[in-house]
Amino acid sequence: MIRFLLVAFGLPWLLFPLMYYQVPGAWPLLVMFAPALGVLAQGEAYEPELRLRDLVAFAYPLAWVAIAAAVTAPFMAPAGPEAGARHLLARALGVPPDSVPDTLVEFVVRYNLLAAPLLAPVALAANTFLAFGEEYGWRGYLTPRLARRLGWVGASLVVGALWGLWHAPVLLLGHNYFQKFWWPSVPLFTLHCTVASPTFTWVYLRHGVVGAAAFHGGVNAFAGIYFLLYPPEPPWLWNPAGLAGTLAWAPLSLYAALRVRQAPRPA
Amino acid sequence: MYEFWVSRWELLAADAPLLASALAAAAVIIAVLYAIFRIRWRKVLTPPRIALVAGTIALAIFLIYLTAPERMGFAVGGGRLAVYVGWWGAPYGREYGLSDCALEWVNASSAHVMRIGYGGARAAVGWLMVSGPGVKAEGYGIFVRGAEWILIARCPDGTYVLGAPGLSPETARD
Repeated sequence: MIRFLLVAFGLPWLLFPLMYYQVPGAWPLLVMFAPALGVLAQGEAYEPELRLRDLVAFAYPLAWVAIAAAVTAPFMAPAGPEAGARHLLARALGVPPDSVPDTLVEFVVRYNLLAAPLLAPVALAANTFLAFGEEYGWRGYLTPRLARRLGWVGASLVVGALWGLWHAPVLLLGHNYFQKFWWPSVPLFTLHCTVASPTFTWVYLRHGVVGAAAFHGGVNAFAGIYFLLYPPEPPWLWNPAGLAGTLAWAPLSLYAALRVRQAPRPA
Repeated sequence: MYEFWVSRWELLAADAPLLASALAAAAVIIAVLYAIFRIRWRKVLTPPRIALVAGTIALAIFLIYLTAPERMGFAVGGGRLAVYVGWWGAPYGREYGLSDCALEWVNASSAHVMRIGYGGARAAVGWLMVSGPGVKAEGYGIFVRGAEWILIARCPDGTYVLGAPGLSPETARD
């Protein structure tokens, strides 16, 4: 397990200077495959089953997004896609929301709303493919190994915490919370992943690694729907990766924990 | 008189590190998948075929740059403004008398340039939007990294956003 952890955690930090200096760059895509590379380095490669029906898990995260929106509703009236896009762009570009040109906001909203149905198959394929690199390591390799000692729920929580910490290099570059070198992003996202993790384990036990990858891909693909309703202000709170999104995982993970604890421990 | 010209191949060369990172990432990912699924995919993903796929991707990227004109740029000064961009909707071959256009100069360090169009390591081309303290303008044009000034030219049939190293109100006046 040591070599797995060394490669999975070491590669993103090795690529950190490249990701910092070369913007835009494709290195974050390689980071997503660090856990899979870790499994190979550990010498414990396995061949997952490829079943088309497991891709249905891609749609499950819609429930999470719906709960996140419901969690936000008592505190904020939906502001609509323009407000969400304007604040997202402002955060991404580092300018005040009023400085974002209307043309750009309209373009982003129109492109996303109109193209979304057309791009759904592409989103399924691309997001599942990239998330596979992570899920092959976190769910397919590490979770069952830890579950032998800790049980599925304990393993889920430990893997969730490691998985959240693993994101530190990209979080420090502004991923999810739109602010470079904002250290609270690391504990925030570690909490997020820890709370989400039992649901991922449940999906893994039900659909295998490919299903978990589809589920993870669905999370990445659908999280943005939240911004069609609510702007990420402040990003640590009203954001799928913020406390609203973390809270939304809670009921799903509670249900998942009750289910996975009944599953037999791996031999 | 100030003029700036850049060829599509210079833009491609400037983007080479980005393209190389994408190809390197793709190569590693393919190698990982090859190692994981080696039993079933051994006959499918042969090294020549992997090279063919990588070559096709590289060719596709190359072809994207072929949609740009061989040289693009602009010239301003001597009472004339000439815009020769011809990519991402920006016009090619428009010339104006400077007296026909309302010129506004924006210091690039105090403004943000956003774009709908091409954005590479060296330049942004297409519909450019400039925003900063007291300025909000948009139009077709080209903005090159290292520019100190942005020229917003409101001409009879369109607004242009132009910026490149060395461009300044002084250099454009001569």
